Amino acid sequence: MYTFKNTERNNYKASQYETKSLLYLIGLRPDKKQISILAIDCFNDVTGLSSSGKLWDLQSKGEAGLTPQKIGKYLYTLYSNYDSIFKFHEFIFFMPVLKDSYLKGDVGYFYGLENFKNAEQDKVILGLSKELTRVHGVANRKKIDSFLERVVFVEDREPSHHYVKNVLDFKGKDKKSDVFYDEIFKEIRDRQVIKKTSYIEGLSILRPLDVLNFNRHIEAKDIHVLLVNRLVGIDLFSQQGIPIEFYSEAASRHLDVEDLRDLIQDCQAKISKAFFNKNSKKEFWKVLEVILGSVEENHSVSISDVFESVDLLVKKLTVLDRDSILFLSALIKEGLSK
Amino acid sequence: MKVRKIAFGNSEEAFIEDRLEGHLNIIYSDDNNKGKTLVIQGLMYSLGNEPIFPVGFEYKKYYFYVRFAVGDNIFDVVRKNTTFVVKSDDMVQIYGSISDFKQFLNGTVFNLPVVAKDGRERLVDPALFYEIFFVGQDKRDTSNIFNKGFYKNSDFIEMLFSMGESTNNVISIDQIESINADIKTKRQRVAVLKRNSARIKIDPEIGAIALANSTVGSFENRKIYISGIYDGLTELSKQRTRELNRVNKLEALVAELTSLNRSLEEGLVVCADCGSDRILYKARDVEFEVSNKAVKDSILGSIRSNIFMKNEVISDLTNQIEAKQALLTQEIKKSPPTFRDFVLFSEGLDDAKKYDEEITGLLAEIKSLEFELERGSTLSEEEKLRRRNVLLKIYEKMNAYYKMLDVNGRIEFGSLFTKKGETYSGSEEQEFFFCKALALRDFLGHNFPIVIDSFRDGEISTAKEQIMLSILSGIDNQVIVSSTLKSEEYVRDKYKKSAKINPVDYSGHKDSAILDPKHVEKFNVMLSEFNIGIVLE
Repeated sequence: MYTFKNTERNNYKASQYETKSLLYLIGLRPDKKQISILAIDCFNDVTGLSSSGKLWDLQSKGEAGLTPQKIGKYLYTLYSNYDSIFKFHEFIFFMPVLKDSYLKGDVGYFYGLENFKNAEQDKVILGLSKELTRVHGVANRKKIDSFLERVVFVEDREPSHHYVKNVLDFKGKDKKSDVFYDEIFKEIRDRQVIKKTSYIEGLSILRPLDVLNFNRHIEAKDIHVLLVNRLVGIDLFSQQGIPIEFYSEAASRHLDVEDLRDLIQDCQAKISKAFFNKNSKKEFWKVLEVILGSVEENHSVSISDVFESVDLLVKKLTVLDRDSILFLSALIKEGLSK
Repeated sequence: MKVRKIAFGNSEEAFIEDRLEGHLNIIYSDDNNKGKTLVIQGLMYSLGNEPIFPVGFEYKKYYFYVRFAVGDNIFDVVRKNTTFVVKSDDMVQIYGSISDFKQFLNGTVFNLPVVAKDGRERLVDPALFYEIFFVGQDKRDTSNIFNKGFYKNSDFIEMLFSMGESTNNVISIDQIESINADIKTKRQRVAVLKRNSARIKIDPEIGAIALANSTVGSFENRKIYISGIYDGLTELSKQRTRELNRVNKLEALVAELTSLNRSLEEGLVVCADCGSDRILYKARDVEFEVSNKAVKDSILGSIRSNIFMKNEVISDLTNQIEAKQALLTQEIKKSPPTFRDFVLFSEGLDDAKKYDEEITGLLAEIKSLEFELERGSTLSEEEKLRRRNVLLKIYEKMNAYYKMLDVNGRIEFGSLFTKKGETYSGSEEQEFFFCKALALRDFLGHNFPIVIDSFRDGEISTAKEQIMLSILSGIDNQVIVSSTLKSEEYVRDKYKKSAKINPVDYSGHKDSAILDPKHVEKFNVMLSEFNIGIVLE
């Protein structure tokens, strides 16, 4: 059995930091593909879960002037999880850039305890031991050592938009402005903050995936859909032309040039309405989700097959029709085909 | 901009030129009729130029293809008649008219200058713009631009001016008054002329005769000619209607989107007690919003700019329609000519024609004065000076190039077009075009390829040819020139391949048969992604 403790309600700056850590999990880590669920403020600030319940635990601390001893103190939540009934796959401490003088050298933005100078390593251990003693009255040095061997220290070296940009490979993503990504960052942050408003202190679960029952999680997929939505939307009506696959599909209907151009404009118009119509929000997100899912599952899926899936899974189509979904699918497929 | 590949053909025959390099390319052959001009005109045509193909070449039967690079972006363009299909970065664009294609070129590929023409500011057409770097073999005339017709020499010069920063004066109230007075006088004159012209009673049948053209052939030919104009007119009107429809739809869309947008904003929740909008949501399933401000702004912005561009296209089409209508009326007037009537009434007709011409001239002047008022500015003294300097700088460069070609040359260039009657000898004419193209390149600093068909036209001496080649191989721009060698000159390696010179020999082509069935398969593969068979018919 696992009992939630130490949940907190954050102020603005801390939430900014937690969003960065969330995006770090699904954007910068080499094993990011495995992480499909992000539990917000349950096990820890952010915890990544795979679909089979593997756990990536993350503690974030955006405090300025972080010293090794303080780090040791803040490692307490990660340690508690290490010491809990669940097996965690990874322990991550997300923090600002540390002073050079604490470290042996610059080995990149993430490293293990061994990159701290020896004296500083001792201070980390001291900080954690002190905190353990304060809370529990005892500290097991052997356990502390084997725990610290597994901790990854991650420095926050980049501005917010960098984290957003790296979540998804999409054509033309580097041409979008930082402001564009900052706005998406804020949307994710707001969502994350909302997730924390429910009250779960003292509640228990038996298996890691049971955490889903509390609805305090965000799926990585949702963030992918969000990004696809924004990336497609921002270019929808600009002079980028139409994706080849849609062009081929439309051309096979023997339309003349002018009819074809009308068709394209109609599709763009319908899709743009979906971007403005709050009432069809659910439908639009579902459609996007199905398209993204089909394309990610099989990159060479035809757009008419994508439409078949959409038609099957989305019960009632109101703002979008077959042609506009074909168009949208071709755009998304094109974007993801990097 | 670098041209990578040029091709043209159809399902029966084709030709592909993919040997071009980023520097100086010389397409040459030991005789005429090897297809050099077709390739070069094909290149320009696929880029949106007016067709200037050799007589007898039925360009309307073929697809014209070009691949070019601008910076890191690669564009493939296929043109058939007035339809363009563009592919870049796995996206396809379709354009139904040159006006439409022009909007794509501008911005996406390069910036086209804007000039005031007939009282309206408009993007120049590719045909005029390309004259800054392209010298064709046919229609050469030192006293005129190559594509006479809609544009005049003055438009070309106006375009050069608009490619720099202009400094215009804001019109003062006094000036507005004087311009208004000017317009009034001109209007009165128009009214007088119209009355006079009405007084001359012309038998409508005879109106035709005055304009009857001696070169007009048989009745059948005329019928075909006139119905051709009529078809063109119908086609243009149809296109304009389609574009108008699209604009209407887009305008309705903007209205709809903004109203949807408003209800979205109205949905903001505010605390009834303190008015704060910092209210925590407590819902089970909160999705992200359908879009955010950036996305919405971008969609609305792009639709608006689409509307703007379509209106430009519509007004271009309107111009073309008006021109065709004028032509049609003129042609219809030419109908049944009988010599007797012609002799009897020709005098009166002459007067009527004169009045008509003066009225047209006055109306154009009124339009441009009104345009000045609308724009609220006139040419300032500074601007006049700048313009003078622009021309002087270009002449200076032209003369510098001329001196490089011929130290003892007697010509002093003092204008971009020669006066009527002033003629150059064959080689001088060639030197004139060469110097002009290079001077414009230097002055504008453009990076378009320098394209000169038949660059040794008019018996340029070998020594001068050497100098031309060394100049052309020394610039950063891509250069594509062609040349026909006399049999005694022709040796297989007359132009040596080097790091700076890429000779392309066309001598092996059969006479007048550059298009060959053997290239069809490759051509089809190149064009397969464009679905041309279906879309372009």
